Amino acid sequence: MVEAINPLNNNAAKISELAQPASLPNAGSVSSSSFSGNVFDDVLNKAITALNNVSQSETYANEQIQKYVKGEAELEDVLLAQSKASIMVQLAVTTVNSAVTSFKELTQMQI
Amino acid sequence: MGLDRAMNISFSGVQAERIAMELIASNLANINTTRSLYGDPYRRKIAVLGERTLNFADELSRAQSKLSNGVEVIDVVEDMSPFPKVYNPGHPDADSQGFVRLPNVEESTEMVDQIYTSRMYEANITVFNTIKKMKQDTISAF
Repeated sequence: MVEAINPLNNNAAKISELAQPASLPNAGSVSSSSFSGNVFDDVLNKAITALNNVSQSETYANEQIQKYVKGEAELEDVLLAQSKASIMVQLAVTTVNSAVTSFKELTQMQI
Repeated sequence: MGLDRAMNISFSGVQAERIAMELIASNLANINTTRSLYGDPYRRKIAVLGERTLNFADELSRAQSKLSNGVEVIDVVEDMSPFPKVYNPGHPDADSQGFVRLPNVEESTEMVDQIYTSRMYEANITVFNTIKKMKQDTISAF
């Protein structure tokens, strides 16, 4: 019985080893590794990370459009994907713009 | 996120109404079908709507927050009302006495259902657009 369990444990160890490299460097690492103490840098870095995520949702919306053209998706699937992507873009652009505006206001401050 | 969930709910309504419309289209197209897969005339198909169930985590959060996950077509049932009989001895599906059984689809009922379904579809799309507008309003408030 014990002999039967041991190979299983070995396999489990191998599987956990295999699983290690599978954990991809996630999107959050960009902003966390480059914490510089500079608020605007961090805000802009995070905004860039957010924009990368936005481009994923845009890719998804694009896929849905292609699927619709091929007859694999319904029109409302395209509507949902496209609406979500467009709102995400709007939010990301607004965030970047407001950060840039704040930065400009600080640089134009009379000393 | 509340608004995202609301968007998904109205989306589920749109999907359900699309399936309902599909069935109405099928009913009207088969209004003269005297021979279906099982030999009987075509039976009118009706969509049964129910609350949408999602994966376990979503169901748990729904049970905790007492909110809804939207609607879905749980089942498509057949109208079991009797077939109308018409005397038409020349018809290939006429019985020994010359009667033909026609589908239990009524054109007037289907037309009413069609108007109702298209209005419901419109209502769900309107909700969807309102939620989208709310999101945009929130963003423009930044």
